[in-house]
Amino acid sequence: MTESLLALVPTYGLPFIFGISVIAAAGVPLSSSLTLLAAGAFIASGELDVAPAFLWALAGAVIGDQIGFQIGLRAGSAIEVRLNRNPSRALKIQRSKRFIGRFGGVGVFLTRWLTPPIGPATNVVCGAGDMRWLRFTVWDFAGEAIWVGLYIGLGYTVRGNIEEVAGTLGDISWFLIAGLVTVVLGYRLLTVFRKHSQKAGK
Amino acid sequence: MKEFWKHHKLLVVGFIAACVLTSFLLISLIAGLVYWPKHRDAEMSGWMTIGYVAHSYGVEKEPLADALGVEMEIRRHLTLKSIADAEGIALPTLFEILQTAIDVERADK
Repeated sequence: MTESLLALVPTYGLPFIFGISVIAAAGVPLSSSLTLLAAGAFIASGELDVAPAFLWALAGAVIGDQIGFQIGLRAGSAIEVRLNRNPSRALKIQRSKRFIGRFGGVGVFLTRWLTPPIGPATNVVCGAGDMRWLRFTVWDFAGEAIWVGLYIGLGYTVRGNIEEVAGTLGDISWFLIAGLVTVVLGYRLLTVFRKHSQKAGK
Repeated sequence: MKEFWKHHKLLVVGFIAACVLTSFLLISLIAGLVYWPKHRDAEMSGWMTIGYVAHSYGVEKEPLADALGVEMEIRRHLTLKSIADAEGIALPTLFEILQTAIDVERADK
């Protein structure tokens, strides 16, 4: 699977890089990171040119993210109407929206290149949370530019087994994601525990 | 404490699971980083091009193309698989030819 995917990079070049960036950013689990690393290596070996490869990959990723955002926006409003009938759920939705309003921009920016596996889900959530389109797009563009530059750059510099490189980068992302979940849960546990002991102390 | 456990079972279990998962991922990440530098030479694969192999082994591509009898200018976007198919040889045989050419190039340096 991976090999036949990689064989398409030198064969079809830029249109393939663009296509896979769109599809992967929209949430189909295809290894766009490996494709970008391969693109970087093919730039180094003289088969691709750097500027067009960067621009096509960036354009593809941004368009793919827009698809996820639009899906979230449309599906979100339909689901919200139903959930809002229940007051406690409506409150939770309001709270989530406030959260996205406060941290959404930075979140979109960081998930692009630091934790790409959860990028597509973030797009849908931001769309569903009514994040302002322009704000989403600006942060998304900045984040994707770093992601594309980072992975093409790594593919260009690292000589050797790019599948190993892709694996290690994926490991780093998943470690960061799990670490973040642990910190959030730990913080929540601490807050709840404090409240609980205060109550017990009374 | 018992009371706390009763009300927040899910949170406690979730936190412990997240801790275990994070440590596991950290260990596998470190193991990967230790393993990596020892396996830097990319194993040749059908999706690569002659230029790609030359780049990752740090040699010029022309001698490799010559070894395979390929016109570099015309066929630079061909993968090793398609070159093997076109020349009617098995992929492992093609790898061997390339490896020999690489060894010669490296010995010349």
